[in-house]
Amino acid sequence: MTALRETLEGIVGPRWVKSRAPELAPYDADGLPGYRATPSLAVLPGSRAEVIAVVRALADTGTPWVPRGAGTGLSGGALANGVVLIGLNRLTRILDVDPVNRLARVEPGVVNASLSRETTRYGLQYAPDPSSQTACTIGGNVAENAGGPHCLKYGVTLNHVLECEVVLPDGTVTRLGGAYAESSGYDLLGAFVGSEGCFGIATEVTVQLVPLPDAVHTLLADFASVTDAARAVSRIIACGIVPAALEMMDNATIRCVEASIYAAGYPVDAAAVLLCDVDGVSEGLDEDVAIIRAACRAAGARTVVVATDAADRARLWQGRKKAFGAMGRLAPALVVQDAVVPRTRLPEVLAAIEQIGDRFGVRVCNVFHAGDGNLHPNIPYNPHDAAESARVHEAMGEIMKACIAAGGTITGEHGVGLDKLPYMESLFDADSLDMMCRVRRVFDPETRANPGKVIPVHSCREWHGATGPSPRGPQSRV
Amino acid sequence: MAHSPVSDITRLAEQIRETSAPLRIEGGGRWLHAGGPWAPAASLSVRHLRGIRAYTPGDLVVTVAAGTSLAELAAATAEHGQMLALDPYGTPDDTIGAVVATASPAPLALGDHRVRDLVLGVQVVTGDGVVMRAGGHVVKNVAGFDLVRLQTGAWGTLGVITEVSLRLHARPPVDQLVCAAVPHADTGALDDLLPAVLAQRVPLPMLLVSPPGGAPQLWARLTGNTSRVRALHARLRALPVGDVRDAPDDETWRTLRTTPSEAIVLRARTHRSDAVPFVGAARDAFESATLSYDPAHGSLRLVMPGTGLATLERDMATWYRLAAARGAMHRITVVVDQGRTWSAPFQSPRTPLEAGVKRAFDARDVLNRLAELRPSTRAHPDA
Repeated sequence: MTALRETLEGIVGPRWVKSRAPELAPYDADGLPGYRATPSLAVLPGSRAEVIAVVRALADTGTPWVPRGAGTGLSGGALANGVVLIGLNRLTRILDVDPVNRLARVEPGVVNASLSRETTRYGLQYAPDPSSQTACTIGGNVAENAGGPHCLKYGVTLNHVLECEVVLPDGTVTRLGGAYAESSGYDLLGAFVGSEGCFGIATEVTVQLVPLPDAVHTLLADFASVTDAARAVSRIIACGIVPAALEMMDNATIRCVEASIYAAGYPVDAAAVLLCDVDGVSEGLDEDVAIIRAACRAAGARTVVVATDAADRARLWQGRKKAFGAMGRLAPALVVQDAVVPRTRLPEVLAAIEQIGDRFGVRVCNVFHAGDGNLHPNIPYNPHDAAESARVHEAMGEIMKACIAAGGTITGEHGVGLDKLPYMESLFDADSLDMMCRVRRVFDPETRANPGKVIPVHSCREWHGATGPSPRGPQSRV
Repeated sequence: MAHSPVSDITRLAEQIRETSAPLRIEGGGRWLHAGGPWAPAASLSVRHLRGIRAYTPGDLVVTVAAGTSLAELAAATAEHGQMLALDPYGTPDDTIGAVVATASPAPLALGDHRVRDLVLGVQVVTGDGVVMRAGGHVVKNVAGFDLVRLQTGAWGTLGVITEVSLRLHARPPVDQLVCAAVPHADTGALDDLLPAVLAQRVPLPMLLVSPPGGAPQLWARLTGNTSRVRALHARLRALPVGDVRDAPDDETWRTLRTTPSEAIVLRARTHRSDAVPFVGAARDAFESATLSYDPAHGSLRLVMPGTGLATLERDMATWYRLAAARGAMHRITVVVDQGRTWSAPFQSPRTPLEAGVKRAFDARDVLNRLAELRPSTRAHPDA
């Protein structure tokens, strides 16, 4: 390891290779508490050339590695257990903004929100808006195929990434997709986006920008029952309107937000609230608002209020965007899930989640992208209480099973990482998982990039009896 | 050649496992001259895999067998006020499996969606005869690696698509197709129109259609509530075009979407900022082509019935020369979507990653095997 460290120091400079325990502590977790893993080394390249050189040095020595952006991921995907961690958050340059062609070319460490800030002057925005957008990076968004509230209308990261320069795990540099080229051949860019760092590192990302809407209206509807709120979601979508965002928060979340510095004025006696944005051409937005208001009323909404100005809208959204932060008041740790269910199954799945919470004696706070059926059941807990931790993880397992049984999936935007690995075999049969393994090996024949993530190792038929490099043991759950 | 309609997936998988000779996968038989060039092969039809497998209208998701036609899908979803957001080039008899396999371009799609945006999951039989699934039935899904995107647009070379789950959209209250003549096209009207079209900031699917020898028309799809459609109509009228009228009739639209099987079809693209020289030079270079420019994606489609290879090569050289002379600064990429003699979306040899992906799904290369091109018939698609 000393020789490798010296090699890496030769590439990036001694300051940017971390090997002592205190230096590595910041990298022992990502945004999902509950898992801890410490890398053997953390190397922080400062340029594209250094990233490539680092990957090639690791390829030369057959060393496994894990890429990491801002570490805001919620699946344990950026944890490196005894292997090298490559931090990409020094690559923060916006290389080019082309307002005529509505494109931006960025380095992977550019923070999501800073890109939109930079393009606002042209009346353009980068649409995907994960709740962590003030910290998370475009490279991390690409790795996870990140979503966000406004992906209901604008689409997820996949729909906005046009081209990537990628360094493959063997050190080869290639370009996937084409910002200005007709698509031909296999959609390798589509496969790369969301590959959770297992297919290589994006050293440059070209994204499309979309015009800022002429106008935005924000509604808040409150309901006496979660079921009514869930039914309102289906009614709204069935109207032929695609809201820019359609979010739900349950009572536990509302109370938590209202007791925090992020208080948004949500009614604390509501069983659930829906927060809905409609945007676009100014003309006709009032009609959309009227239709949505009527749909909410028909589903049993007690009140429907419309934000009166930008400050009012920002206040309503602050509560939603900061809900996860507000939950920090309840317990030292928070486990966040990310299942997706068919919209029509929301009422029964939410009821099942409530029952599971009761059964295991844990408090579930639901705040989620209702328009997509993308649930985020969150359970605040004390990780130092072994009994409570065990109940939380059992409850989460039951929630995931309920979502799969309802025809859903285990992750809509956070990725599988480490946390959802145990559920992959409930979702896909052995042949489908094996094909994922095969495709992974096309990009990374030695499976050295983010080892042990996304696909259970034993699902890969080549692993049976294989003697190649293997990841370290499972990361410790705390 | 043997023609083997298959209605049972297990039997289909057996057939693939048992063969060592190449198989040509066939849906509605519409695209047999497209993609490729394909090696001679026995036909394997999935046309008989038909019907809606699962449909809960409230979820706006439908799962259909691959041989189901677009018309059948449209009829089933229309009953619930829903639709697939796009009408690809082709006919209503085309199968949904073929639409996904070819990632068929779709003009004037609602929200400018593409096939890639709407496929949620697929069931495929691989070249090893293994039945596998990718994706799922929900509108957001990042569980595992995205094999759905690999299958979409792979032209059946990575598996026989047997079932597809699709995202649907509710029909908007108003959905209006309109068109307007582009006046004085011969005196540089496109120079004014194209920048104005590209500068539009509203979600307004448009298509500039330029038939050979005729006046160009700007088509647009106006959707939403009454007030919004009225506003979009006003934005169109503000462009340098003639009267904006309702589209003539469905037949005209169907004709525009239909591609003669003997025609050579190119897709070309460059920077949107080069649209004026790019499109204008193409109009002047390809006298017999119908051009359709999609400003949202910056993509130009050229349909040339009865054009021979020598004429095509001459016209392409003229196009590049004119475009450069008129100030096109950037590279133009061209993909041959359809043509009996030309290279197309899949080049041979493939790149190392593409070759690896092909091996992963079809190690024996039995599904839609590519023919080796003789150097004399190899196209030069990039300029």
